[in-house]
Amino acid sequence: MNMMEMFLALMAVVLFTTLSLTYNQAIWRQTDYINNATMVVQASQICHAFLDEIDAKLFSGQLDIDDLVDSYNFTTTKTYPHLPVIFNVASVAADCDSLGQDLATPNPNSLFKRVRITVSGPGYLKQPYSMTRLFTRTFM
Amino acid sequence: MSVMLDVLGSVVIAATLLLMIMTFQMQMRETVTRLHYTGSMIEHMDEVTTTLNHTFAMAGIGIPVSDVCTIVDTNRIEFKTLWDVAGDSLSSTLHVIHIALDDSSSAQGKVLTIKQDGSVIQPLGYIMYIERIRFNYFDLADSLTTDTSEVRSAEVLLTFRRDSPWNPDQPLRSNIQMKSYFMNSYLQGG
Repeated sequence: MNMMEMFLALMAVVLFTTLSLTYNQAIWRQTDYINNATMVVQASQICHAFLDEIDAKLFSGQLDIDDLVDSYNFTTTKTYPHLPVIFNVASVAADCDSLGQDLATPNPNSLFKRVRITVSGPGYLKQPYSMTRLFTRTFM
Repeated sequence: MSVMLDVLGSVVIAATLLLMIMTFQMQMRETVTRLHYTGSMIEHMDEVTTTLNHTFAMAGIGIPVSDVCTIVDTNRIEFKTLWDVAGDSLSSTLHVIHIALDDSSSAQGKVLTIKQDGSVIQPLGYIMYIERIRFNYFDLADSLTTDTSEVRSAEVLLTFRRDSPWNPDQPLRSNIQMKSYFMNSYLQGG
């Protein structure tokens, strides 16, 4: 085998190694997307559960809407025995207008309160997932 | 002789590379099929959680809070409501909703059934690809309970399973955990 043949063989090895790595990267990327999608479904359920809890407590009178902003500004870690992952949950509550925009001047007697739940944590969840709900004071 | 060795070496290298490419293609095919299956499973999981949340939200309409649930087991629940879940409308007659895992295995795994007055609700009453389900129940103070009169919310732990088209010994499994509140019980003051 002369120099030229050795060089060609080396180039072939480089070419096919590059091809192999490209294939593997593409597969890993697709798997990541799918894992991320699974986590997004779970994260949406976590957000729903927190927001539904507020609804339920407001309905039953266990929570006064005036206390909503004080009670639902927190960060916590949630473990789920059915899932092998830990989620970080951040709740941000604020007085707002009917469109969910922050008030120019905070007003605890505001008719509208906005709660945003953000779930982050496991590596598969590429971006934090947020869900926002607007709560309206009623006089039922 | 050296020419023969060169030709033989070339053939061996070419055959190795060809095998490599064929293996890549097979792996790609399997991965794409798995991704497609898992992707459709994620969509299915989303639909199932929406259906279950909706069904639980309608529990106990027009029923005193302590009488809403009649069965609260780890693998099934039965509750009463004036909501016609099958027709998705309010009704004047009492309905009994029963959610349970049907143990009769099929190619699609076990089936989670949602029945109204003994009949499976169509078309959403048969939920396929379920392997395992567990219900945990909570009272007004959010403490675990098994007392039917005290249940105000339910945690649902679901395991979905779908056989891999390429390797049935390695089924695709996905877990999801959700919590549903009996809003009508809370509306009555808990």
